[in-house]
Amino acid sequence: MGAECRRAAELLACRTGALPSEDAARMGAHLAACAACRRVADDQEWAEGALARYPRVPADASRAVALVRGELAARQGVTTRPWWPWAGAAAVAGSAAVALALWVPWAAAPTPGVVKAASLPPAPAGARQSLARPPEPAQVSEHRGETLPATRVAAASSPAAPRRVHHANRRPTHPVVMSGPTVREAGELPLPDPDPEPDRSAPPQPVFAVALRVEGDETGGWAVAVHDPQTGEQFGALCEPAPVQPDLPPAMPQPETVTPDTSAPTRGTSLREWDAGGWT
Amino acid sequence: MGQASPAEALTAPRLRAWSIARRVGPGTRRVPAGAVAALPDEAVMARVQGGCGASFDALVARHYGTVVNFAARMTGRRDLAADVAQHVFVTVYEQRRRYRPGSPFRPWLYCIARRRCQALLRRERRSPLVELEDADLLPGGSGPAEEAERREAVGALVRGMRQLPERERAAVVLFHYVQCSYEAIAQVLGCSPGAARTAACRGRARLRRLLSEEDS
Repeated sequence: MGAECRRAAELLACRTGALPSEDAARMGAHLAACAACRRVADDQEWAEGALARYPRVPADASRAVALVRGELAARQGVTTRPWWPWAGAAAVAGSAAVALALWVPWAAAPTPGVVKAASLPPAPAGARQSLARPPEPAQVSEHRGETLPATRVAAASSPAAPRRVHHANRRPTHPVVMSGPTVREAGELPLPDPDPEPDRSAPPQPVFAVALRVEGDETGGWAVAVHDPQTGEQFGALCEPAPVQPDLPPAMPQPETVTPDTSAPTRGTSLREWDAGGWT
Repeated sequence: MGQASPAEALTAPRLRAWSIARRVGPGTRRVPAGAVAALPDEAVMARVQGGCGASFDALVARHYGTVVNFAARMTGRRDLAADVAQHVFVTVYEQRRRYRPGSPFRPWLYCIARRRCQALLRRERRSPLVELEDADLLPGGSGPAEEAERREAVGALVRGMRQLPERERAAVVLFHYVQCSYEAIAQVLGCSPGAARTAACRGRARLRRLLSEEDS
């Protein structure tokens, strides 16, 4: 499309009869020569006539005004409803939710005096050596709950805690209550006397231990919290269970292998035939 | 309470009138009808933005018929055109703050109308409604043969309009029925005037081809 055609397109944008006389004359001359613009003008003229046949929809303006006013009034009745009661309710609900969110961790927090085994430091070297005894797995299940009413217990699965406990030589003098979400059950650690012939003159060491079953520990071990009231030291540890030697039943006799007799006739393989007369 | 200051005495009645206008809606300010009728659309809309209810009534009365017929041509559903127009003018009043004073009013109005028609067509695509015959609106012919022929011609035109793409249909209707310029059509369609002219040309050519195919 050349410059003349662009000008023609602008002129075609004007409606029929809206062009000045000189523009109309130039337009007619151009249309006689340019087939593309003639087609566009032809389409435009055809559309004017065709769309004029489209029936007009009658519209009552005064009725329309009344309808629009009624619709606006109805909507205003809805939209001008005060919003602040809902805002107040939302604020109350939000503050209640915040208060609940703040209260729940506080309520779940341990009561004063509770020792969290998970937060216990690892056993000091001196304490471990003084309580050392030959390696022997702790048999905690036999003494569970004997004297120590542990109501709420916590895991002692501190990463620094040793995996094996060699010290458990004193019966606890007072209960220790612990809390935590990952412990399944609790009990008293057996505190056998490490020395078969203890020195009666020496004062008993007020060291006690609490055994805690750690949930999720696939080894089935126990966590131990040890507290020394004299020094105020606390430490945690994990003890491994005793290796279980399963009592295997005696070896079962191997069944005899039966070789099927392929020479015998194969008939009578269903229960119905058995009922009828047995297999032969 | 003491005597009101001059500033309060001046502003209090205006504030009261403003608050009443906000509460009650359009039509609370009394304006002579003749004063509004002589104003252009943009000036009337500026008065509507100021809370003049009579100006809004004048605006509705001025454009309602055109919007109804625009909606009928855009949707091919004259039974729904009145609903579309009513919704359009309600939207005009509710969104009057978003109208930029001084900008052309008709493109803004038909932009709202076009969007409403699009929403209606989208909804109708999901659940088609029973349509009425547009040929019922035609003046009666001299005989049954002419009547049948006229009905057939109008039916073909309505079907052809429906088959046009929505953009081209809007361009054709705005140019040939609403008598909009291509600049105004471009504002309604959200494109350049050249693109609006192209859409109208293509729509016309497509409509002509569709009707000639149906005739043959």
